[in-house]
Amino acid sequence: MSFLWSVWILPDEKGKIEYKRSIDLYASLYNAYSFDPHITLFGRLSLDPNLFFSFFDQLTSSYNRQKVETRTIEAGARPWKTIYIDLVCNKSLLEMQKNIDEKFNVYREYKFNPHISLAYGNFIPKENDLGLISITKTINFSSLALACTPDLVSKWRIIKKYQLKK
Amino acid sequence: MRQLFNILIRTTFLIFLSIVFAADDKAPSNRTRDREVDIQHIKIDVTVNLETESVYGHVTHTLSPLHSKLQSFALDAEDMIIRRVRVGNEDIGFEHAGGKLFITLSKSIGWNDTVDVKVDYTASPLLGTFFFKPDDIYPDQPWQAWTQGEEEDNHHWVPLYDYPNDRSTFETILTVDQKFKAVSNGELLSIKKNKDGTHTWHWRENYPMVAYLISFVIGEYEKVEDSYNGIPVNYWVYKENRSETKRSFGLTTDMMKVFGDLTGIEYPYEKYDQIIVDDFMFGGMENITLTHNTDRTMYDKYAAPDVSSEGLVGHELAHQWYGDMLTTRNWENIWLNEGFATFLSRIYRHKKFGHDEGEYIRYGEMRSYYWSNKRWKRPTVHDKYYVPMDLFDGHVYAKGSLILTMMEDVLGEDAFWKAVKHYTRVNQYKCVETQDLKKSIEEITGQNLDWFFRQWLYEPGYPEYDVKWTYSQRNRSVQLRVKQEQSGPLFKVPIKVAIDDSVHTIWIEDKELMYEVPVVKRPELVIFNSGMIIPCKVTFHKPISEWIIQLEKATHILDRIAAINVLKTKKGRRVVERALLKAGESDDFWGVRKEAISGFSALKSKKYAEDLMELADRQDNRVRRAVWGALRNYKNNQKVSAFLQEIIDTDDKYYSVSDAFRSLVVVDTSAAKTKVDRLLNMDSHTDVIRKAAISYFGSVRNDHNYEKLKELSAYGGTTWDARPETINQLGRYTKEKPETLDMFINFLSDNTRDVRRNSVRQIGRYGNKGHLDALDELLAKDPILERDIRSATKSILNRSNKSSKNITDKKELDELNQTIENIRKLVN
Repeated sequence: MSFLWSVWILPDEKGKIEYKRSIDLYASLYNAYSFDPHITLFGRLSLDPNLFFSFFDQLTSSYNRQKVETRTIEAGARPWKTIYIDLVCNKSLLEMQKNIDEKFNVYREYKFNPHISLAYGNFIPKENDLGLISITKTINFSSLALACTPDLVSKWRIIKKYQLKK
Repeated sequence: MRQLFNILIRTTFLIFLSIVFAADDKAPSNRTRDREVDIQHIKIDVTVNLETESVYGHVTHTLSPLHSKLQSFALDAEDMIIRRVRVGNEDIGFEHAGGKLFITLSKSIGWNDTVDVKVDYTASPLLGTFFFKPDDIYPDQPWQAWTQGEEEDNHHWVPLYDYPNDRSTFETILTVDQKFKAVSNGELLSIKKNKDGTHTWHWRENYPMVAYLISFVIGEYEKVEDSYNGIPVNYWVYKENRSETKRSFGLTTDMMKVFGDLTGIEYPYEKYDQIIVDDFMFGGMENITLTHNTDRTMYDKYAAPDVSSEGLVGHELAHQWYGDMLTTRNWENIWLNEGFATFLSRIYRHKKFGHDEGEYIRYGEMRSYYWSNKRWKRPTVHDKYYVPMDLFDGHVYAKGSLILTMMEDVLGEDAFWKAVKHYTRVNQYKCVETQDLKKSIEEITGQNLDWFFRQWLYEPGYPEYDVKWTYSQRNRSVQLRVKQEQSGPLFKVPIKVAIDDSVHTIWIEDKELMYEVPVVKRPELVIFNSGMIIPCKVTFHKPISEWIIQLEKATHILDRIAAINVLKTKKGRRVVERALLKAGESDDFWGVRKEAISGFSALKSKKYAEDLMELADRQDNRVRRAVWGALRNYKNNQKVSAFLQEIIDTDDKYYSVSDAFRSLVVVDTSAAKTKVDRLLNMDSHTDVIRKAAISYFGSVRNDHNYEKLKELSAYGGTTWDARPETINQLGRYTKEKPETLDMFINFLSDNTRDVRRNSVRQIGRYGNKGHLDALDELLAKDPILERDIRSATKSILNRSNKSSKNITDKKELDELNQTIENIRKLVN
């Protein structure tokens, strides 16, 4: 099995519902594509993910759920940060990402940039639209996921999920 | 000189100056100019005013006569007023007429004399130097002045002997407004601050060079510094491109090392600067120690891998050896500059990026040469042209490079490079002709390559072969029958024939040849011209099944591509469609995958849309774009439409979005309509996305879209870079809306040269004799468009002659009909 996959962390159920709603809102406003809210810890690996299941098992067993502080909603570089929530990265999350980076940076270089995307696409969002949703001060992330992320957003799907420690 | 940015610039390729407005065989012969004096040093001391677009000051030539008694001689000087000519402090007589400055000395001088002749002048150049500035509509356009000397244009801004058979050292002392940098050739001696708010930049080139290599660029730049062996290597870029410098120029110093090793001579000059300029008409220009590059060579990660600069950077750097250190002494031998630069640039990429990449670049050269040969079949060394630029086509760039590869094949790698090193060493800082190369090869290898030079350099064309193979079970042998079928002389070539895993070299020089190779069993693969070393046309009579095996199993990428080129002509066969799709999905090399997809597209199959979309995932972007192109065959297919729309909506590669949109216009026009406004607002490398959006209004022709195009074509209607595209699209309306031609006439006086150029081309395509005056008028104002105007004029006259011929034919036909009718009446 070999396809492009990424390492995400996913918000808890409450965050998932809330931010999926925001993603769907922007998707309808801009005719964009919907997807699951997440932070990408490492993007687009072209390796057999089966080989790394145990690595992630071990990794997630030693990390607690993450509470991440938010800053603002921003419009950024298209198409992957067209609308996103800027985050203040905490030490524990950074450390987890570093562990993943150390494992995979021999295969490809990935520049970690902590944010939650709310819309992907080649469009320029109206400034007023950035204020359409409100964001919580913090977001809780309860699981790590391996997601199949081919070129088309519409085909993204989660292939494996690991719960973080409570 | 001048790799054209592919557009070519899209594949690096790409990229030869092959937009040929072909000269023809009626063009006059041109001989190397006679010299009257030997110029040893040129000191140019001028103020360059970007506001008034003028160059004024003086130039001093230190020279000796090439006569025992010389009293008068001439320099080239156009677009200027000569104020004064002096020798020492003494004013001397001069006459300025017909583009020449005739100078009469007060007394004659002889072989051993040296004089300093100082000329005061003010130039307003129409050629040789180009000026750019912002205005209210395009306030972000840069202030710039830059020169373009090759072929013979520097005499439009400084009086000098403007032909490449004389070499001298020179200085450029440039006084400019203090906000600008003034960059020139050689070492920077000083920058002086003047009281009037100007700065004077003093540069000196210590190595003798021909006149066309003198250059300067003035503008607002940031310098990014690097070095090679203690030699400064600088990249002069705009502030906003600074972060892209490494991406575009980062391999320069590595190339310097490789070229030094290959040529046997380390980079020999004071420094190497590369500078980007706005609205450059070429890819790059190898001015001595200062290459001018188009600013389109800067790109961000979203333009890669569709855009790359290594080809251009390597080509121009290689010219510092071949073109600058050794310079063709006339234009007929220009391949010695361009062929060598193209070749070395390829060899570098071959070494750096691998065999397959290098060979695929060579395949691009093959195609470029075939294309040029189709346009204007001529020898590579050729003295018939209207202007030297006529010669800058695939015969000198691509075929020049291919000739060097064939030479290496004939001589062997070791002997070839030894001969190249010898040629380079003995001709260092000299002007050369093809015979100098031939002589060097003979001195080193003892081989008289008369036959090789005659057929590849002094004769036009390439061989055409008809090939059959059979297997003899009784003899256990493969019999190969080869016929040379081209018109004209026979070629003598060593052709490689691959039979399964073994490769045989067969010398073919006769009209017909039978060749027998013993084998142990019937081979699966028989490949003629394996590795495609020889540019030739091959008609190989093999069944489809053998071509498919060649596509699947041949080890050389060009053998697999050769199979694709045959298979793509076999329409309606599912086995061929599947074979090409399979190669498109899984061949080891991206170039083969891309060619296979394009080949599949040529079959115009209505099946396999799903497979195509599926296989695009994870592919190199150049392969993906071939898929987008192939999807055009699925008009009105909703799945394909949705797929392309998602690419347009979410892909981060500019060229991917652009190509996907162009395909969507064909597949689903109404979906394209919903995307076009968004794309018109999207910035991208060279505005490729905006240009694609503009093409929608030309592809979907209606009154509304015509009006939209008119709006976009107005000065300020869209960006500076995208606006010329509006002219091309308006051209598509000319038949139904003839008034569009009047717009093109108005655009001839537009501020943007590319708008003027595209208007000339549209007038050439659709205009009539009544438009010739307007073209003549433009020629006087903007002579750099000379070749476009010549081509347009030629098209108009050809069309006009044809239509008068049609009228004559019709008259004759009417008369004949009348005669027949009369006979019929008589018979009745």
